[in-house]
Amino acid sequence: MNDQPSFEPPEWHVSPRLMRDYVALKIDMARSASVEQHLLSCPNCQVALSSFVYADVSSAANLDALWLDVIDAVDRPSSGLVGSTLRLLGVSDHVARLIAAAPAMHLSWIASVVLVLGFAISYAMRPYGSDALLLVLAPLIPLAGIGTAYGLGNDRLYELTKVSPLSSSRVFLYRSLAVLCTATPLTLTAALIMRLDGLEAMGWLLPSLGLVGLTLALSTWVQPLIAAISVGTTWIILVVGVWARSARFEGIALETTVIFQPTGQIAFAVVALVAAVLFIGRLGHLDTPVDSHRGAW
Amino acid sequence: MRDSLSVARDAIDEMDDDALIVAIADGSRIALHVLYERHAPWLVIRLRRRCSDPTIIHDAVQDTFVAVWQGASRYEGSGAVAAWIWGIGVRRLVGQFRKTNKANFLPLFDSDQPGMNPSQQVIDLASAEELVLERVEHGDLAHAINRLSPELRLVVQATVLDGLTTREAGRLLGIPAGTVKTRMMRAKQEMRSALT
Amino acid sequence: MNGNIEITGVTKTYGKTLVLDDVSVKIGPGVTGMLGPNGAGKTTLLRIMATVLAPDSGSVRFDDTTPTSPKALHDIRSNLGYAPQEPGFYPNFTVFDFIDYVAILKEMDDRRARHDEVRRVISLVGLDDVAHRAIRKLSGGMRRRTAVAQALLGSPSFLLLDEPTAGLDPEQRLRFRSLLSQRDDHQAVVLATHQTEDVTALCQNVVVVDQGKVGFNGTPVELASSAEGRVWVSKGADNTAVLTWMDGTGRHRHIGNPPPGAELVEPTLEDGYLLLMGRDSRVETEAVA
Repeated sequence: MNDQPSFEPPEWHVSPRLMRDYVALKIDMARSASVEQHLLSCPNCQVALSSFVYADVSSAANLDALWLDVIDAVDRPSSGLVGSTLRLLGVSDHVARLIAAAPAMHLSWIASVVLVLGFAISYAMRPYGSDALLLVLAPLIPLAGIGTAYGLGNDRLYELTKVSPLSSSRVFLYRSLAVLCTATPLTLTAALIMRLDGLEAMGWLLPSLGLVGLTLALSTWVQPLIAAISVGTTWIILVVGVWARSARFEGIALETTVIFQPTGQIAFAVVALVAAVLFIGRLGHLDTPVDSHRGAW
Repeated sequence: MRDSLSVARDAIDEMDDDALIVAIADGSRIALHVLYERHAPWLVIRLRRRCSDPTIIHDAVQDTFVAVWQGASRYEGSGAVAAWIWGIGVRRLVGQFRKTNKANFLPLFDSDQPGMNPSQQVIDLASAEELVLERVEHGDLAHAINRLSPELRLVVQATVLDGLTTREAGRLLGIPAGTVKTRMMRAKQEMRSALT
Repeated sequence: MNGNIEITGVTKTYGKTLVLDDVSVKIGPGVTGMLGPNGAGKTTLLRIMATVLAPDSGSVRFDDTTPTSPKALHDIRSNLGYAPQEPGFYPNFTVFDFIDYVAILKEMDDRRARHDEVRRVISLVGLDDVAHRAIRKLSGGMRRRTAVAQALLGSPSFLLLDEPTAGLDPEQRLRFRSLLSQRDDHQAVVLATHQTEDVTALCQNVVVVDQGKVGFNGTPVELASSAEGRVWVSKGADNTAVLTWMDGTGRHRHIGNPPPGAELVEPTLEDGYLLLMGRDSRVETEAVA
């Protein structure tokens, strides 16, 4: 097929009549084959066929509709790993985009994975190592995510999010939930890998929820980052303080301090509940215009 | 609305197909549109001769131009762009049948329908065949092809003219690959005896 | 919505700096230029109108709605397009991703309809061919057009654009003008700018903001005629003028109190603006040059 013909073929183009018959499927195969072969290499006849087809209103409409489908498929943004995972979990397309678009979300997810892996590795390296690390750090993981998920200075689209009808509080809530739903199962996995039992395995959970609740509630007053840092610092001071007091006697492990005993756990559950109520009650504050130029959000 | 675009659009309209492909590889959606307007019409018409289900054709053409968009940077530029597009298009059509597992209802050529005037066809044929079938004893070959039964003719079309493999042709025509082979052999025999 | 915005007694301070001082102004349908030097408080006023920022006192009313309840806020925001001077972009965003994201924020939940609308605004600003490029790789002018495009989503009744023409080359500026001339009659477009040409070319109304106050509110013709009888030309410099500069023909153009026998000329909008600003002798050299 590829070798050049030994003679110049006469200049030939698809005649209007043949074109019409071809488009109407009104010619036999030998002739249609000729037309088709010719069309592949003749821009003139391609243009002639195009204008012939586009001249017909209904086929032009079909071609235009088809083009819109082509460009729509071309434009479909790739959802990335996070987006696809969320969609797989049944999160609707636009919510997945709201959650996954912010780079801070990816960072906080990676951070939680790394931290949890760190727990597991540190445990594997030191068979008799303390579980204290997990108990202290686990509640801080979602805090880091929530603190960076949204807010002035964290989110470059903060201003556009603010002026949009979709409320900022919803964006904040979606992302916080996404962080919480990633960090909690991961930490749980780490705890299981470390084969902690009972309260030791789950001792971080209620404090974690309590701290998350406090951070969210506080975020209705100040930037989430400031809220997260304040709550996180308070937690560390509390744990270290309580531990230091009870560890005057050599050998008292962190998990036996009051925080991880039933009393402490119940207290954190109450804190979580109260904070959640407060947060929901004050959620609307995230949507109103801000008071000052940079400070509050 | 088109106003602000007209400048860029005009420049791209002037481009030949190869330049369009380069522009598409560079992310030009306007170039893709121009390419679409040039090549989608004949592609649709040509596919209509291979499949009578408009939604399948719609999807195949859509897939084709999406593949052009994605594959433009890998286009090597040998041969006509139209031939490249056809190669993608006919395989996307085959792919549609693999995907949907539907039977292909092939359109009949008009010559198969009763009431056609055979002599009329012969007159028109004289000009059309010159180009493609020039290297063969064309008139006779055309007659030989047209005289084949519809099943045999479709196999010839799919394998010889459309460049499909036996397996692809089988998918398109909704018959096993083995049947494609035997029909192709019979077609060759019939054509050979018609030509001698 | 009919495209009426009424600003009443808006005051705003940042720390000890008074940025807006009891600003009251009515803005109707059409294109209104908010003209003023950098730092005059235009951006702050625009951000207050866009419901980003709360004023210390005073209010903004959109037709019959003030942003006091969550529902009213939602109604206003649904009809508002706002292009900040420097909108932030997520670094990995393409033009399409970005505008699509904003469209999601504008509660366009149906994917196909949303993407069609995203394509429409991308075409409007002529960014079709860079739709899938990362924004960080685009020129300043293209970024500016991206910012404007997202504001056009859903053809809002109120369009607030902060310095939309800054950084655009003359051709892009022309395109922008033709884009704005296609708006519908009920749309109110507010255009913050420090360039008088934009106002001359585009605006039916002009509000001059200076040092946190509204110095003028009227039509461009009125602003120009406010310098009626105050603009003259001469061969040499004239020290009595508030402002003097050499024009393209090599003659000196003056604004101020003309000396007797001066050759008065028809004032332009720029003359009116400069005279207004020059009264407080606070004209930026940039604006004069």
